[in-house]
Amino acid sequence: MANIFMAVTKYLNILLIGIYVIVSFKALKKATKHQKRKYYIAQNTIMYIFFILSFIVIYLNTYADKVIILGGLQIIYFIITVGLYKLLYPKVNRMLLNNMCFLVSIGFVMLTRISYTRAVKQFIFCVAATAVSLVLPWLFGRTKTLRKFYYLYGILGLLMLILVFAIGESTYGALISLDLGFISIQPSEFVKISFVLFISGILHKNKSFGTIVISAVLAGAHVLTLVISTDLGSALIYFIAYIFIIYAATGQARYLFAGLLAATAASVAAYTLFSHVQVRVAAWLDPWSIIDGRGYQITQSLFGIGTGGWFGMGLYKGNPNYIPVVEQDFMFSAIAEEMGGFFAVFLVLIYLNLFIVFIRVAFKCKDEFYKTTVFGLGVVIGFQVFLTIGGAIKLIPSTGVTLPLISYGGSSIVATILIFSIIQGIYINEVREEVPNGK
Amino acid sequence: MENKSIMRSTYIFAGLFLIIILYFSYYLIAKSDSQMNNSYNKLTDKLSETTVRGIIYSRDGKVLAESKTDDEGNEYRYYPYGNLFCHGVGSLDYGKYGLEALYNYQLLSSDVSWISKVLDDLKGEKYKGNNVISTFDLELQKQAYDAMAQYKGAVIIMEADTGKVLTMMSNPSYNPNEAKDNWDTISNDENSPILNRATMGLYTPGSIFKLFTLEEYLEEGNDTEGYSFTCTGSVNIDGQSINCADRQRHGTLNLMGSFAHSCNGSFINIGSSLDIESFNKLCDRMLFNSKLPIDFPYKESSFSLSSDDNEFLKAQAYFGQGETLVTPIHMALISSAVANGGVLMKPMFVERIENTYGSTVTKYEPEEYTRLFSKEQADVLKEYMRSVVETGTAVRLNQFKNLTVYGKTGTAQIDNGNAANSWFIGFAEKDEKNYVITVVCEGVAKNISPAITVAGDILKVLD
Repeated sequence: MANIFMAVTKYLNILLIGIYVIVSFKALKKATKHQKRKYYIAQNTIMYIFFILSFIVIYLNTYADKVIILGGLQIIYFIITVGLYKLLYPKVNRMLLNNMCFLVSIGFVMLTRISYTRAVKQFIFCVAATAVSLVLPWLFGRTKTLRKFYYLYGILGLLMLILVFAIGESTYGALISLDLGFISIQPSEFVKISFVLFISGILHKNKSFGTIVISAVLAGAHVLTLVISTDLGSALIYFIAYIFIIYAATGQARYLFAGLLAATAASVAAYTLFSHVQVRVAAWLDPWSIIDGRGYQITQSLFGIGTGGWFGMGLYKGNPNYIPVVEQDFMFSAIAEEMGGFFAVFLVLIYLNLFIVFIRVAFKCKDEFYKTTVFGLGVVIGFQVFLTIGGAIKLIPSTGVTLPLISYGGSSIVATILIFSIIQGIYINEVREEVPNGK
Repeated sequence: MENKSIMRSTYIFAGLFLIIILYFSYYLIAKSDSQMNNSYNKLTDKLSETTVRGIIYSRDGKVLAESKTDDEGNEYRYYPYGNLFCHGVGSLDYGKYGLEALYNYQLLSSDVSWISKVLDDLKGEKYKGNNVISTFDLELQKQAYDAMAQYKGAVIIMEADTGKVLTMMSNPSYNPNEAKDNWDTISNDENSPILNRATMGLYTPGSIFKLFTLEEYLEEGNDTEGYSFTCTGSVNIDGQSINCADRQRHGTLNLMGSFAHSCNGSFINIGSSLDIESFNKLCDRMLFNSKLPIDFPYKESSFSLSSDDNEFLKAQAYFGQGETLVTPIHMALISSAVANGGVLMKPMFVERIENTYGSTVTKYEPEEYTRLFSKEQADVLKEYMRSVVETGTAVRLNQFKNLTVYGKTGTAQIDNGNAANSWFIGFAEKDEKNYVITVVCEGVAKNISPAITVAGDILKVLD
């Protein structure tokens, strides 16, 4: 009986996320308030069904009461988060909120299955970040001076990164975290935000060539510091975010081409200069010949994806823990392995949907500074998704970045939720929606 | 801020997401299956929790391995022919061997429609894994097994034009059905029954190596018509005497006679005229010291000769004594190339993979690996190998109604000349189809040549 339930859940979950994707893309189209409300309710309902079904499966495989308690608390978390946002901010962007919650719920399920203790930690960070994120939009409405301190963001952010390089802790060969004694944080996750604010701020002043050169110097310093700290994933995200913001702000394609050209040149240079880059590229080109060395992680990821197939092995029927550092860098493979290739494809589509929602908000911003900020943060999240999934499926070399809202990592989840609440704050305070009236 | 460039950026990112989805789908549809069967893929063991391992069949549809369930509901693997296929089909319980290991992932995958998988799920039943149809021929395998009953060694029979391996046996063997209970005895047995001698056994080749000495002699463009050597039964090299087998005096021999009667003296004479560097190159081309195109675990044959080596060592090398070591599968590949007009086909052990309902999942086609000889060279070698059976050391095999046999025999001295490895390598032609047969009997008394008898016994089945 339990087995049948688990098998049915596997297919139901694929069906649920499929419907979720359809609803989410329908909700992007013009619709009446009434119709939109129906879509939002559908999104939340699907999330709850998915979450409850999955937690029953987790319980059936562990028979641990603590799992029920954790699952119960998390449901309460979702109810309160959605409820409070709606209550405090009637203008809240529901697409942003619902997508965030659904991705977080997928992360909770997969993390609980992989490691209960990590899931608990993640949950605590999530609750704390959400609490802050509930206040941020209100704060946003009260302050207009955010843009004035852009140099401060640029310089403070850079100093943080340099500090990490100077005294940071090494994680899997990359200098990315600062140990504060009671907690270890990864500044590059947070500096992403100050970085985007800095560039938006400086471009808001004026878009002369001189300004762009100054911004390029500071942005280059950020990227270079990350490269020598061997945090290649973040370096790439910063770089790409920078050139796309410049392109979008100036509307001049030559900046985009020049940037991409520079990125290519920089990649070649990094490859010749740094052995850790060569190692990653070698593991990407032919991991099979070094399967018991540097190719181990990516081949285990491919084994997970391939053995899982389109329908997945089912929760607890595979073993994502065979992939080293699965909970941070390879959550996508873990999901594909146990929940299936179809589920994984739908997940990519949810991220795409989310990216479009970001861009929509940017589009509707009248204010230049906010517009650039939203766009920049959207690019940061979008490119991070591309890097981590592309790395997991061996489309590109693995760069060790997290899958936003799903991967384990306190700094990552807190920073991502903050990004969401900044966009939410800008949306609530700046955007006037023109909605056709239903009845 | 330009909305137009924001739009364009959005398209670029949507494009990136699309590329991810396309590549991911392409990987799952086209690439992943061939990569999953890997000993590093620990997930395959997990598959057995949801899938009943498929059946391994012989080419004519006899069950060679299947999964059964005992009274307590535990699944176990059953091998209806016991010892017979323990190296080829392999076994499962302690480490995986043979086809069980090589096709582990395919046997544990179930390529049925997803509807029937869902139905299995709903019924609470396991999926039924794919079946593997091997190239093994039950009757030939049995015959080889019986013929080899008294000897340690190995037999390989394959089709020259397709590379299909019909028989691969190694003696001593063990019964995989009893492996679970007797594993300690089996694995500690000093005769190493687990070892697949057909691919892993390194043997001194003895006179079968003369095939390579001959080929080098021919390729160097030496005189074949006028060659003559008078054998007195032994030659003296640096004060040591080297005899022909059984101290036979062959008298005056031409080149073909030297090969047919396997005259050591004559081959030392031939060898001493060879360019050693070029001889090394030939042997490398003939897959010595190199990888072989087979998926089974194997050892590489080794040959090396240097012009600095002393004359005695060189002399021995020319007729296959000394340092040279070969595996039976390597010798089978060489004769199959000769039989197939010089082209070496990649050995095949599996014809196709079927799902549980019998529809084909993967069909394996014969595949050319490389050309070892030109057509002319192969035809010349064929002629020489025919003379061995017509007039030389293997006349016992010139007895079949429908088979024309070609080959070379060898009696390699081992253990300081106290015992021998008896070899027969060659092929039997029947209706333009060539069956390659390789037999090695190890550690036999040195005056008998059981490999020829064994080959004869097995070839009867094909006659």
